Amino acid sequence: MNLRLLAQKSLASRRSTAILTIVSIAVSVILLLGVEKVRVNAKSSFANTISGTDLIVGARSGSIQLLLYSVFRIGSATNNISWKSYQHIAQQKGVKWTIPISLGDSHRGFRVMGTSRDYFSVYQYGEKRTLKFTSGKQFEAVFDAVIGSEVAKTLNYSIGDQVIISHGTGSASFTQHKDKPFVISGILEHTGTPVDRTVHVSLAGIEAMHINWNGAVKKRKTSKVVTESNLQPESITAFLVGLDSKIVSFKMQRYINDYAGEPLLAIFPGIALHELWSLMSVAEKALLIISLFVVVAALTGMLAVSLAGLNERRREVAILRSVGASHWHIMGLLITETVLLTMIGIIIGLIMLYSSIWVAQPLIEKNYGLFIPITAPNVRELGMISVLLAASFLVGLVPAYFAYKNSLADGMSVRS
Amino acid sequence: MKNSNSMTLALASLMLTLPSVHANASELDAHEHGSANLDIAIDTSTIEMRFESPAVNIVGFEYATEDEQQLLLINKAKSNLSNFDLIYGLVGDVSCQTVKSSAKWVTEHEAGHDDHGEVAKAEHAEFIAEYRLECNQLNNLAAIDVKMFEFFPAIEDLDVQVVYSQGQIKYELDANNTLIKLDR
Repeated sequence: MNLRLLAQKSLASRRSTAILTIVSIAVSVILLLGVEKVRVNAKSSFANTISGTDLIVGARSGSIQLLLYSVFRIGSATNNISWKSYQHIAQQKGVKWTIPISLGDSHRGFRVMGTSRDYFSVYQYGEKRTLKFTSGKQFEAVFDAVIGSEVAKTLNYSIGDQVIISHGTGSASFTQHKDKPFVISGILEHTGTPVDRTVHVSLAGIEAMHINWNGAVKKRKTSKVVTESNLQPESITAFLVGLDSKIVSFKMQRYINDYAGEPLLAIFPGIALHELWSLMSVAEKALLIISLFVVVAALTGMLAVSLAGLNERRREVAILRSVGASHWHIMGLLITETVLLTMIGIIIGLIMLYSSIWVAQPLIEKNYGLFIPITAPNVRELGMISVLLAASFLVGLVPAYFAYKNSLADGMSVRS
Repeated sequence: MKNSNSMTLALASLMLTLPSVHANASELDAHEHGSANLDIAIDTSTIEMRFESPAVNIVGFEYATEDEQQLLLINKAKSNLSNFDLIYGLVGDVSCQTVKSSAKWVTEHEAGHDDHGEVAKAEHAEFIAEYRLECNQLNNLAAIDVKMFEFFPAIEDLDVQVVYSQGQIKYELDANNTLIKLDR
């Protein structure tokens, strides 16, 4: 009878403790690999959100804050910047394109972003991919809106539907621009970025919606005909800049940061993202350490169970010895047992991890904008699994050693 | 601040004695002794670099001087800083020609701090060095080695920002970690 079969049968006879040990290993595997998956995917989803943009310009605040509100729609701007400053910088030599961004309104919990038509041709994400429409087209009229795939899916919208935009960004906003509904003109393809959760309208649309509308008090005037000509915004929240050449990047940044007309801040999105990571790395390490401790706890639990069981198994060991098993066989049996338990724990953990990702995927994407794909474990994760297996082997050595010592001392005598 | 009366002057001179004044400088103009900045922009055939450091890291003082010894030191630093091949090394199969390299001594006032008149009086000075290189096969550039720590040991950390075709990256270099790796 080989060791694995023997170990299996022996474990089967102690089902309940074996199952509990497997569960604790499985839970630790879920935590360890789950944390790793979230970490890696959060990073890549952030990194994939913007590409091809050389600078982001907003009111002077912190670079991470500017990055978060302009690109990830997290938090809000401390200040707006004037249309004049925007125009001035957009016309500088070396500036290839600019995309204005105007934030501050929402539609049923989704942020509304005012922008220019260039946005749809110039904005890039992932590996320099541009936005594509699944249906419809970009906004043409003042009250046209283009929605992201997640907005369309969640609210079940299609082309031609009307949307009413609320003032402010809370989902329970009381002041709504009911007199001026927007009409959906286009739906964008899924991108896996905050674009999916955004309602895009023209800057003129944002202006038009606020015309005849005085702060929190709505004036009940019939909406007069609004055309694009009288709808130039006075200010915007931020703008993205593309440059002709990388060489001018730093000069342009200095120029914008020293701009006398208004305190502005120009950041490199890649470098701001890097700063964000170094800020997050503390939390990341803390999470990793916690999950490592959970693994250690699971292994220690397994060791405790294994050692506690040893006394009760003296008879088993003695019988095995009597039918010709050597010390090495007994030791091998115990080591095989722990490794087997760990392996089963890992497999069950992986199954549970992947099925919970499968179940939670749409929820996580909807609530946090984070898409966690179901992919095979990467090198780092496989490494973690191998280390866990190696650790279980070492843990197996302890009861094996005691069993060896006991079997020497006990010989064939059975005291029970 | 230009038409300051005696009261504000008194206040200003009081403020000068407080170290917190330094913290008022904006992010980019931060003047932190021991630390320096290097910005690198790389295009298809051009590298542009700009190095900025508080003068104290380079020569040990920041005040305007007439002392011959100190003037010599400044000139020596300028010539070292403007010698690209001396303080930087390009790693990879590239051939570059230095078309511009300059180093200058700039007091805070000259650097555009007109609105902080009183800070300028504190005699903050900086060295600014600028380089431009024209290269062949710039795609083969694997890394840039920064060798300036040997010459200016007072630079404890160097904040490097690189903008190139593969993205925008940031490095923190010190005497033991001098390589700016460029992933291709």
